[in-house]
Parts: sequence; C-alpha cells; structure tokens
Amino acid sequence: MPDISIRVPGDGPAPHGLLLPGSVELLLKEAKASFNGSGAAGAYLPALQLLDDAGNVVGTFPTDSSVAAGASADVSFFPRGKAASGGAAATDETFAIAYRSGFNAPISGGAGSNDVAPWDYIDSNDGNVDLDASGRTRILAAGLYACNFHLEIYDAVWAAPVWWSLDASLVTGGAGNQLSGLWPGINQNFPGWTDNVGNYEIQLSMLLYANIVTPPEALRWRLMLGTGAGAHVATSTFAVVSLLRLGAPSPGGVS
Amino acid sequence: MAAPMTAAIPPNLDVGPNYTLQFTALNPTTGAVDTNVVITSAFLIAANVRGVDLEAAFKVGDIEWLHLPDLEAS
Repeated sequence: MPDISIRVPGDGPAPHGLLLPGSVELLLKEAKASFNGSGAAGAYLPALQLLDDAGNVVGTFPTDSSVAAGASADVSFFPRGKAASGGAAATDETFAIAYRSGFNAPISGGAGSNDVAPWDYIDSNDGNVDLDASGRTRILAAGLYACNFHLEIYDAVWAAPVWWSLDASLVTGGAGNQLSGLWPGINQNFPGWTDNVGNYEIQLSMLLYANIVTPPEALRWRLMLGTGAGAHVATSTFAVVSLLRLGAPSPGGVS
Repeated sequence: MAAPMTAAIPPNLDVGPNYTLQFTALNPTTGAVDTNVVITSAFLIAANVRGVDLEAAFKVGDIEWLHLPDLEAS
C-alpha cells in the first residue's frame, strides 16, 4: 500500500500536532514542518514528539543545532535524518623521507658529534616536514608520526671493543611533544656492543613514534660510537629517515 | 527566510491509535517548550497500517488535507 501524505491541520503555537483516532495506526516515514520563530523567547530546538495514549512523551526527536531567537526554520524529519555530509574529502597523510650519504661518523661519545645533519635531501608530499637551518628534519604540523631511521655503515673499524647506538631526540622540545620510549622527550637509544675488533659492515634500524603537539619540532638523529681506542667509521655511511603522519596527536602521549 | 534543517527519527516509527505526533520548539538548555514559536505547514508521510478509511476515521477538522493514492490511475 502506498504511503500517504497527511497535512496537520491549521497553524498553531508549539506544541502543535495530530491526535490519531482510535482506529488509526500509522507507520511514520517522514515529516516536515515550518517553525516561525519571529516571536521566540530565545534560541530553540525544533523537534518532533511522540505522545502515547496517556499523553506521556515517549519520544523527542530534535534537530542537532538550535535556531537563533527570532529566526525561522523548515525542518525535515526522516530516519537517519541528517543530510549526507559526504564526509571530508580523503587526503593523504604527510609522508616525508630524507637521506644522507657520505656521512662519516667520527669517533666520539660526545653529544651531537655524530649528528646525521645536515641531511642531503628531503622530500615531503605536502611540505609538512622540511629541514631547519641546521639541516635537521623538522615537523611543521601537529600529529602522531611513525619515524623509521635506518643507517648503513659500510666500514666500521673497531680497534677495541666499543659500544654504539642509534639515538633520536627532540631539538625544539615544544610543549607536549614526545618521542616514544622509556624517557619522554629525552634521547631514545638503541644500543649495541661490539666485542670483536676488526672491520664491519653494519645496518642499524630504529622505529619510534613522535607525538607532536606543538610544532614546529626539529628531530635530531645520531649515531653514537663509544670512545674505544681506534673505533671509527672508516668509509661512507648512508642514512635514511622516513616520517609518516598517522593522524592527530595522541591525547595520552606515546611514552 | 527559513533555514532548512533536518532531524533524525527512528525508521518505521509505529504510531498507534490515540497516540499523538506533535511538532514543538524546545529551549536548548532547559527543554522547556517555547510557545512563542508557531508551527505552520506541517506534513506527515506515513503508511496506513490498518488500512482504515482515513477520511472517515479522522473527524472533520482533525485533518485538513489528505492525499490518498489515485486508485483510478493505477
């Protein structure tokens, strides 16, 4: 049986509607009404209400937003009754990659002495990651970033047992910014130890998360070598870091 | 100029005999009815579950205009 259209008789002050006779049962599909708020006492929510046979309100279905005092609205009520917003257009998240070749890490345990900066190359799909004045990777947009730091040492010379580590830290230290790990906002170390002397080719990788609440934030990536006698990187080292924004900053941080 | 708005209602809302469907205006903070708002041009689209003669069922004055299927056209 086709649906029918019923006009609620007359105009009237809120609430205004229709009492079904004792023989009538309707399956409501949609409804529409005009609300003249020229005399409204204040902002108001247009709503459709269902009252049972005892006059109890058993359902109230208001609009999501209110109408300003004095304003009027034409309101349509229907199942899942929001006009399709279409959602936000899909956009790519930030992805950036930087590399440096010919990085010869000196022998040092000193802070910053093995800084992989300036990077030779940076590319970002949306410009949200660039290099700062010191050539360090810098995040310009707030977000939670997965950072993958990879280092290849072609010829490491250990003349004595020596420790080494990959190291990352926040340079700017903006409010709320964190790197994942045991020490929030402090250096994150992935250490190792070489017992044997000699020449080695080593590949090192480190994955961590940067939760950037207050951009811009520069990130320092380092190779740390111990101070063992004669330990050094003899020939070219290749470093690459990629940063992928996963979404909004994590409210709970990443530590 | 009236702003177009939408609101959600449950699908296939079954409105039984002696139930009332009414449009109202509520204070967003208190939920109180603002009787200064006037409802005009109110329509319902519904299925007649029991198939009763709506023209006979509604008393004169209860229903101002009723559009029934055009049986002759079918």
